[in-house]
Amino acid sequence: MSMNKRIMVTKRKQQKKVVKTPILALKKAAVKKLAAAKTSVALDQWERDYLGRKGAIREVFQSLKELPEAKRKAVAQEANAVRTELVALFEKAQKKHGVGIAEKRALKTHTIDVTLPGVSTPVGHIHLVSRMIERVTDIFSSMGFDIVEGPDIESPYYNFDALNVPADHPSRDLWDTFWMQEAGEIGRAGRIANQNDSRRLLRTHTSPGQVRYMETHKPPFRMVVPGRTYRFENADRTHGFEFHQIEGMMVGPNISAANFKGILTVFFNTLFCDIQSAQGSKTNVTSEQIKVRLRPSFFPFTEPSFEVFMWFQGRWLEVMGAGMVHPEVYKHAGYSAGEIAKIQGFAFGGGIERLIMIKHQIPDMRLLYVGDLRVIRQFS
Amino acid sequence: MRFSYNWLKEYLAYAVSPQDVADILAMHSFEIETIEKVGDDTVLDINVLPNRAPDCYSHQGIAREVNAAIDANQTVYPFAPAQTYRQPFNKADSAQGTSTSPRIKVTIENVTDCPRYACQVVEQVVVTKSPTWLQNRLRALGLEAINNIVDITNYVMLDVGNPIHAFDLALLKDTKGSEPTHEGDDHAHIIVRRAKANEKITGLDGITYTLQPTHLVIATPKKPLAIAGIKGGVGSGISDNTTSIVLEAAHFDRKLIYTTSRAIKLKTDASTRFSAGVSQYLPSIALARAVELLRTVCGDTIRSLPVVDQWPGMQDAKTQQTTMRLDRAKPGKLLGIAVPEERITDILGALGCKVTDAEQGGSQALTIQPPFWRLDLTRDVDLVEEIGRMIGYEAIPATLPLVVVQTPEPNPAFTFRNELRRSLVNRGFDEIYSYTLVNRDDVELTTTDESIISRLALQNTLSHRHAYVRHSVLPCLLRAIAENQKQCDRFQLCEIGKIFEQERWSLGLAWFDSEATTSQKVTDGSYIHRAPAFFALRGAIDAMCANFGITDVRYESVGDKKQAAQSWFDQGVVAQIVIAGRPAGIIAQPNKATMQHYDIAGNAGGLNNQGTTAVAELDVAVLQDASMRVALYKEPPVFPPTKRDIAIEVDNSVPSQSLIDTMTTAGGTIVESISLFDYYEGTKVGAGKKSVAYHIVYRDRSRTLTDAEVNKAHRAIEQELRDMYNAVIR
Repeated sequence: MSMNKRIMVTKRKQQKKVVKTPILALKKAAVKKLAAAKTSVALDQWERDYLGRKGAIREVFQSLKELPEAKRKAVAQEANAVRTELVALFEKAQKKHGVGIAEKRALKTHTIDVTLPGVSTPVGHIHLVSRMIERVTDIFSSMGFDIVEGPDIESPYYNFDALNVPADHPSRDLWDTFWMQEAGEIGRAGRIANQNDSRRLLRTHTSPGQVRYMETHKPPFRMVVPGRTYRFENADRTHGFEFHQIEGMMVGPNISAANFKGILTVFFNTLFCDIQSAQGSKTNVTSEQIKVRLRPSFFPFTEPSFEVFMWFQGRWLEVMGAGMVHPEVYKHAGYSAGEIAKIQGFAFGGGIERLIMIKHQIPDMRLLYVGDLRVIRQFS
Repeated sequence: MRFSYNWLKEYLAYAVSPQDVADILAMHSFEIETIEKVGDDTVLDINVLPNRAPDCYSHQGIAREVNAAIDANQTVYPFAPAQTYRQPFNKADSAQGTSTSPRIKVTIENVTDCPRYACQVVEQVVVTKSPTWLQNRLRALGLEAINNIVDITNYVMLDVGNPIHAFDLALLKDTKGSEPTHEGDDHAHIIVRRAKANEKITGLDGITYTLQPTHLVIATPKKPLAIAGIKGGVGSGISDNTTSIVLEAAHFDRKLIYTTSRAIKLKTDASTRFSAGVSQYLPSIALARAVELLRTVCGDTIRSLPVVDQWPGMQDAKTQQTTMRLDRAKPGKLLGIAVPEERITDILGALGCKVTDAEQGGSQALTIQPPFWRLDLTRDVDLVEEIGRMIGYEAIPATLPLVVVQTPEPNPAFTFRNELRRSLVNRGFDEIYSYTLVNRDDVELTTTDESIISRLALQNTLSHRHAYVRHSVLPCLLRAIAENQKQCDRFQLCEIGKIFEQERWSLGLAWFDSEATTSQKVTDGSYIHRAPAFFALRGAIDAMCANFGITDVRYESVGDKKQAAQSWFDQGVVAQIVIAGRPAGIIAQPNKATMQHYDIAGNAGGLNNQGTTAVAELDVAVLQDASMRVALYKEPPVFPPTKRDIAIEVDNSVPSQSLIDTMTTAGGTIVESISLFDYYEGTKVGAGKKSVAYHIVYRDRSRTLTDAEVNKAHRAIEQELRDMYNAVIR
């Protein structure tokens, strides 16, 4: 603050102090002026003059200390009463002519229309397949499962033989296979024969990850293998010639089918916990626990084998294939008979797109592969 | 596979409805696809699991399964016993016929190919239409009714599970001329042998098949009669004139039938069963059932001769039917529920297994001998499955395992891709997924090397659109741009996916802005207008790299002009991306031909790339390697910087990066940073020239620089620019 300004302020204060209006006269003048103030601007001015920080009422209070001790109390009481009266009158007048205090304050700072759009920042979206793989691996990772991956182009050894799917057996027909035109080496050749089959194929499931992992890991272990898989079959609403799977495996001295049910129950309930609460009120689904049901099935690499269903929003949905790891698979991984006798565990495999379709009610899995932003941008 | 309820009922030991049958099977054995009323019958479509084909591709097999499930769970299934029913076959027919008969002689050339061949001559048959009940049963299951003999062979297959075939005896005798043969003249001689090279046979379906020595045939000494285990031939089939028949019930090598069926692309009810495997004990059971039905259908006038049964594989079959040891504790331990021993013996007994104590003296193991029809029970875990499913998996509780705490093994590549994705999405990229399988044009966009292309090719394809694994993600992005530009004026896309031939993860980026306009005019440093999408995408890549602490990112011109000339990109707007000295990818504006091929419109609806579109592809592993893992603290500079600007007029062909590199070297260690702040091309400078201006920040981290020092360095920079680029310093 400059010198000049300070002087001016002091002068003004002195001037005002000279005028010592008796309180009732002040009130009379105020009421008269208020009656004349009929616009919000005028009301504003009146408020400043009488009720404001430097208004007349405040002047009265300021001047109290100049009065003799005995008079002070009475004057203060009188001034208070007048102020209360004036505030009431002012508010009444405001209601009549102007706007509310809060609104008025806002208006003072309202120099822009805040309802205009902000500077546009592009917003990207993670694809549902990525999101589901991340979510699924996060859940398993939180339970101590390793996350491992394998090649898309596989050898028949890892895709079939090592998994106890014999050549020249109809069970191999369960997996319609894309073959590469040219044979070739695939990283990490298997331990047993079939060296003469150097053909290459596009993996039909993520299960090759089982033997690949076990070749370098000894039990106890738990792991999942997310990845893209391929089937030589025409695409329709629920089938793709390309899709994604999540493979899982847990092996130890005592890992049982009951443990598989336990792990999967936790998994499904965690995976779908948001949808249950989100739709709870709408679709009458309470936070009912998702239950897991097993039914007999057949896979050459598990014994017993299960078809896995989950109870979801009032129906049983088939979501996975699973079973207890077949001893032949341990053998192909290079475990000794002694080791195999001491271990047991479960393995499972399920479709990522299937989980997405269930969770987001997507009617056709091909929608996920056309790169259509009108679809992709729905999910954030 | 379709099964008739009325048929099953003949063998069901309990009074159960079709729905009961379906529920019991669904719980313990197989999924039920449909239950359908057909006339007065109900047809169940049962999804028999592949390992159960040997015993359950038959009505007796399914009935046996239902009976066993009820027997094993009497308290759960309180069904009343059936009034009348036939016991499904439960013991092997031990009777073996003579190897020859007055009418027929059998020779098996290779025991491995055909471990058992049983046949039986039946005389005085009258070929006619089957009775209605027989026709109805076959039709309900989707088979055609042909005549009584053929219908009976089909019926026996569906009843017992072993395919059988009927020949016309008269047509098996290799007599020449038209004279009718006299009965008993000579033997019909049946030979089971490999086909000759290119041997032809016309099947009952009218199609001629060319066979090879890897295939098996049933033949007379002169001609092939049938493709063994797959299809009968036309020359020996049953006709209205047939009076004597030969019923064949054989066992063929599973693999041989499977590979033959695939090779000649002919899958029949018979080949399906033989391919999956059938018990060697079945042929005599099937023959007996066939003769029984013939009597029912044709009457007692028929005359059946003794069975000719060649069973050289009998010993093998018996040894294959091994006994197994099952640890009493194993079922409970594997399933995770308590399974008392009597439950084990009850269930396995109900399934037809013989259960005995393994050894005397407190052994933990039981000895189990599976029934001969269960080829799938070969080891203890198979028995655990039987016990588990018969108890019902519903009984297994959900129990979390007790394990030692173990943190997961880190997977840096997987984690990095997730972070990369987030980084891009956070700066406005929408992530897409495309098919890995692409077409030939897509492959040729980025490689013309035939040896690579042939390694990308699939052998079997669904469509020419998906005949190769992709060599690059760029074609996928270009296609997505074309798709989305119809609805969307501006967007940024990313895809993280595998590319081949050397399988690796690739990051594809696309920038599209239909309103971006290219301008030759460069004013106020806005060279951006020369290629708006390119510079926008480059900025995004730089920001992404910075996000991962990757600072050493350089954009270099693509060297090989000849190669560049036949490429997909605009030769003037392309750069190789080099990260930490390693080639990391490419960024470019697609050229006109590429835009046309992928049907991407530029601005004003034309097919010309007016700077609307830029794409890039980066090797994810190179990015990951360069990404800074652990940053170590550096003390922020405490001594002040000295800033100097430099304005240079230089030949247009000199890249900015070269100027910066030169200045950095010439200025010495006190040059902290150099950044472009002005760029100009146009009339104010000469033709082929440009004017560029940079901020140079000088600093020494250990002391305050003197003016003299800075001046010296700055002059050195100016001099070097003049010397190297003939630059004019303004």
